[in-house]
Order: sequence, then C-alpha cells, then structure tokens
Amino acid sequence: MVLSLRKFPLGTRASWSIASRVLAAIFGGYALAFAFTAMLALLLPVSRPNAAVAACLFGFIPYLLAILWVFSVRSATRAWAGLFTVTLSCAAVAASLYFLKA
Amino acid sequence: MLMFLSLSLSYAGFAALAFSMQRHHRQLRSRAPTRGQALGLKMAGWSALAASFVVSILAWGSVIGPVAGFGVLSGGALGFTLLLAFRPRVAAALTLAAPLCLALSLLS
Amino acid sequence: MKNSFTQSMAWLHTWTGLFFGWVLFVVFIGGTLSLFDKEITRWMQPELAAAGPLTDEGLEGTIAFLTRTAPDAPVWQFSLPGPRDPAIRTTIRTGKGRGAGNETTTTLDPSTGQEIRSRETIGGNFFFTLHYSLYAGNVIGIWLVGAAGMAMLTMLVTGIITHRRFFKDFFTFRPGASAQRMWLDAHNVTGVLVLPFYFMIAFTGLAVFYATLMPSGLYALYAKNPGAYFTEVLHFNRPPPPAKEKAPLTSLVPLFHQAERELGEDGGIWFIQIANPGHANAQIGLVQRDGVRLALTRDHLVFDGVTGALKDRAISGKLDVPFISTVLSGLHFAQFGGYTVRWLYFMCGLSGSAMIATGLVLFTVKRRKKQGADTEAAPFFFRLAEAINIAIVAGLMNASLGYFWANRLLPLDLAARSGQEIKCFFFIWLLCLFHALLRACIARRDHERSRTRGWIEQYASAAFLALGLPVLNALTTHDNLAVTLGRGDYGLAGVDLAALAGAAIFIGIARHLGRRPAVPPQHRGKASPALAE
Repeated sequence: MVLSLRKFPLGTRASWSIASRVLAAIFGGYALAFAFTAMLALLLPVSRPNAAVAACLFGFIPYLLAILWVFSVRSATRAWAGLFTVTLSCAAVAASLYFLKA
Repeated sequence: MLMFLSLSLSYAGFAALAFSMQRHHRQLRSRAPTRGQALGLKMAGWSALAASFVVSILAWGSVIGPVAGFGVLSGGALGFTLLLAFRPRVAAALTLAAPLCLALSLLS
Repeated sequence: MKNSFTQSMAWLHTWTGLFFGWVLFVVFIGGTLSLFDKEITRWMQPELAAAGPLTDEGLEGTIAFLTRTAPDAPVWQFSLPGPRDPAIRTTIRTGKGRGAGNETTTTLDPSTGQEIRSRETIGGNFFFTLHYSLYAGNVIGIWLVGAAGMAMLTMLVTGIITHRRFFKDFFTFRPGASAQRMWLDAHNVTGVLVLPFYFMIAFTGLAVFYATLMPSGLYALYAKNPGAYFTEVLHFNRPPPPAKEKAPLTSLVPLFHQAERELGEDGGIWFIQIANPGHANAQIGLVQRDGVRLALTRDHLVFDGVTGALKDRAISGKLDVPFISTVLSGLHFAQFGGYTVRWLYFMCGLSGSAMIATGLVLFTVKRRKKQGADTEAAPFFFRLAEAINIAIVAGLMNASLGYFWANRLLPLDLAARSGQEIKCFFFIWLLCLFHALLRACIARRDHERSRTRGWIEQYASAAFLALGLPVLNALTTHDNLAVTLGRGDYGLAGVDLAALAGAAIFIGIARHLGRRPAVPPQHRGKASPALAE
C-alpha cells in the first residue's frame, strides 16, 4: 500500500480510500476506545471509582492502537470491518456485564 | 548539590556513549576508537547514566526522583548534543565536571 | 517497494504532523510559558510590590471587602498569598461561564485586606487557557486540544517506527549541513532525546480531561448520574442553592488556623471558597496548596459557614480517591518539586516546541524538493502551508511578546483592560499571518532567499520585541532588571532574562536563515539517502 497524495490526486479511488481511513481512525477508533473503556470499567476487579477512572485513562491506548492499525491494514474496507468487529464485541461484553450487575 | 551531580553524571554518561561511536569519536580525534576503547566508553556511559538516575532518586526521593531523573537525563543529553554540534572539544572537556561535582558533594 | 508498513506510518506521521503540528505548537508554547504563570502574572502587576505578609486582620478585611462589594454573589473565592504570588486574589463570578469576562478579580493586601489597585490583567493565566483550549471555548477548544494530544501520541509512535537510525543518529546534529539535513537532524535530536517527556506529557494531558474525552468508564459504573462520581468520590461539592433564611457568617480566622494545622504543615492553604455567604446554609471550604506531593490531590476541609462546625474532610490517603488520576494530573501540572522541576519541564517543553517547529519546516522543505514547488506549477497548498508555518511558529512569538508589551502600554484605566490585552495578542498574530501570506504571494519562487524572507522578518521583529521588553519594563515601572537581580527577586528578573534569552535565540535563527546560501538548483532533485519517506 502506498499512500501518497501526489500519486493519487483528489477524486480518484485511492483518495477516497485515504478519506475513508482518516474517518475510520478518528471516529471508528474513538468508538472502539469508548466501548473498550466501558467494558474495562466493568471488568476491573478494583473498587468502583478506581475501576471507572483507570478504565477511562487506559482507554486512550486502544484508541492509539486503532489509529495505527487502520493505517497499516491492506484496505479501508478491512479497517472498517476490523473496527466494527472489535467495537461490537466490546460493546456486547460491556452491555451484558452492565445488565448482569444491575 | 546532589541535583548538579545528577545532571553532570547524565551529561558525562551521554558524552561517553557518544564518543564510543565512530562518528562522534572522529569529531574529537582523527581516528576511530579501538574496540576496547569503545567498549570501555560504553560501559562507563551506561554506568554514569544509571548513577545519575540513582542520584536523582537520592536527591528528590522515591516518588519525584524517577520523574526528575528522566528530566535530568533528557537535559544532560540535550545540553551535550547542542554543545557537541557547535564546540565538540568544549563538550568533551565539560565531561570532567562530573567527577569535580562528585568531589565537591562528598566534601560538603 | 520497501516495507509498506513503514511507508504508511511515515505518511501518517507527515500528514498528522502538518494538520496537528500547528495546534500542537501553540499548545506546547502555551504550556511551557504556563510553568511560570504566577511569575508572569506578578511581572504584569507591578503594583503588587506593596503587598505585605498574611495576617488575621488581612483575612477579616478580605471578608469585609467581599461583604461590601459582592453581598449577593453565590460564591466567594479567594486565593491566599504564597511563595510565588504576593497578593490575596478574590474572584467573583458575574456571568454564567468561567474565565475573563465572566469573573471579576480583585487584588487585596494580605496584611490589611485593603484593595491594592493593580492593573486589570489575567497575566500568566492567559497562556494556561491558550494551552488547554486555544481560546476556542471549553467544548471545541478542549476537544481540539484533546485530538491534538492523540495526534501527538500517534506521531511519537509513527516517528519511532519511521526513524531508521534511532541510535546511530542519537547525538547527530549538523547545523552546517544542507537545510533539509539540518532540520531533519534537529527534528530527530529534539524528538529522540526528550522522548519520555513527550509520551508522559501527551498521555497525562489527555488523562487530565478523561471525564470529558473518554467518559464511558464513568457511564458504565455511574450510569444514573456520572456527576455523582465527583461529589461522592472527589468531594467536589457543588454548593446547594442559597437558603431563604439569612444568617451571619462565622468568623473565618479560627477555621483558617484549624485548617492550617491540619493541612498546613505540608504547605499551607491555597484558596478559600465560601458558598452562599450570608445565608443559613453557608459553607466554607479551605483547600491545600498544590505542590506538597506529586499527586495533585487538592485536600480540603469544609466547614458550616454559620456554626463553624467541620462538615467534610477530604484528605488524600484517607479517601477512596483514584490515586492514579491524581498522580497523572500531578505529573502534567508540574507543581511538585519546586523550581528545579519547573525548569526541567520548561526545557523539555522548549525542546518539544522546537521538535514541532522543525517538523513543520521539514514538511515544506521536503515538499519543495519533491514536488518541484519552485516551479510555476507549485501547488498552491504548499505555499499556503509555508505561510501558515511562519505565522504559527514565528508569529506566535511576536504575538506572545506583544501581549507583554500591551500589558505595559495600554492605559491603566482602560475599560475591560484584560480583554484588550488578549485582543492585542490575537491582533498581532493576525498581522503576522497577513504578513506571511503577503510574503508567500510576492516571493520569487525560484529564489531561496526571497522565500525565507518571511521567516527572517518575523524573527527579527520578535527579537526586537524581546530585546525591548526589559527596557520597556524599566521605563514603565519602578523596577528594572538590575534592581530585581540586585534584590534577588529571580521571579521578576526571570521574565526579563527569559526575554533576553529569547531575543538571542531569535537573532540566531534569523542570522542563520539569512546567511544560508541558495541551494543550487541542480542539487534540488536529490533527496538525502538517509531521509525516511
């Protein structure tokens, strides 16, 4: 994969791929981190305030990894698919834990 | 005083590491370092850096010490690199400030 | 094709750098100057030299002053003098929001509680607000700076991945090399040598705003009411609405001494907050000064404002306060460890600013070679990027110094004076942008000299402003550098000295750029082999 604006001027297919990745990194990555943080908060075996805060603080790391990953996979579609899978899994775990606890 | 000792050790450590590299050794002398010289400088450098970190912890305590220690390491490295770029001989000579600082802090 | 992973990481580094580098440079300069916020504020309020030491009479006088001037305010807040700030500063909220325009602040003499008429300014706090929200508001600004923080982490990782000779080039800085080589060296050296600090400061910066930027952990565990977290755990109680019944406020002095005994042995009381003064449900909170430990805990006692009974005691170590967040914010705010740590952070902050600035310059220097930006077909975008680089990097220096000049030159009795100082800052910055754009339009594209002219002119004017600052200070106040140095007042002398040091750096850069001969056109096509792209 070569990402270069010079080789792929605006309006071509590759430039759409870049735009798609940028959106995936910013918003998809944030959604992933958001779901992951919620899951982590419910999983951490420490007191409630500590779990909440530690999860929030740690949540920036999956965001970072997601951004890097989005720009390293072969295609933008794959990036979106991966983000969706992880985000939905985290959200599912978080939701089931949440209702179990409630 | 411990603070300055830590900073000078960090400076000296990075200087030793730099002069163990061919490129920077040549900035000082016309030839490359021998294998033994390079190894000696490397070991001296790493020991000085470790010592700098330990002294930082002695100076600031176990909580603030590591934070300040990293800052001191970066400070020593930056100072040395800038000096090396413009005045390599002065940069090498200043390494001697470390033992001087050590002596002064032992005396006081 | 070489390793495509490295290539895409390089692409990510370059483009994230261009778009967030502008924001990050401002954030870094603002944060670096904020390390000495109180010294800057004191420099900007020379009238405070008259302030005496704190006395009980001063505390009573402060309450009397607040009762007289703001009897109906829902909250009185005032900070007490400390090693870095000589005055009592009262803050009365007059609007809905926070910050200048919504609050009135007054400086009082700690020995008498009488007002010291000092010029209206927010002083060093200006750079603090610039640092965390860029004056773009508490929603857009904080999210923008938060995004820049994530971008910084991304760039640190991608920078390490794409730096091919991390250890070999560890100490390599060749100021005499070609422009591209020199800027790349400078970018690498300032990046690599201070790397732990950058990771720490970017991560802790995000961590400070975890409740805004990544709140899902709080939602998951405090679903009904995320705000409950703050009242239950951190004991940050939002004051209740004022009670109907009136009641006189109890005397502050015994409460102050009790709090000093409990919290003071570490470093004294920093500020006092009185909610619903004059009402039956008044409460008085006394908060410990930062800097007694690494963690930023803000220990405090809360008293009933009418009976004087102790209502709440928030002491770190005795509460289930998430220790990690207080340590992370403590690391970011650098209130621990005194002036040594402040100077270490200052140096690391300057190095970070240099890393960002050299990165921005590299973008245009590299593009210029690769894209043939010297020709008539030069993409408009690259010339725009270069102009914005000039305005952000050199222009910010002019604007910041202009803010200090405005503090001395604006009439003392000007209405909304602190706001006018801020307007001067942004006006000068805008002028710098116009100048850079103008230079980009009229520059002869085939001529290296005419392209660096924008940089040189703005650095020259920054150097003039910086050199003139100690002179202006001497002319407009009773103090000057010799006097402040003579009496060992390094806080005030430091501002003048930093201006002189800044002038030396600006002159150095301007001279370096001016001296650099034009690169012969035939060499332009060749990229340095060591260049990671």
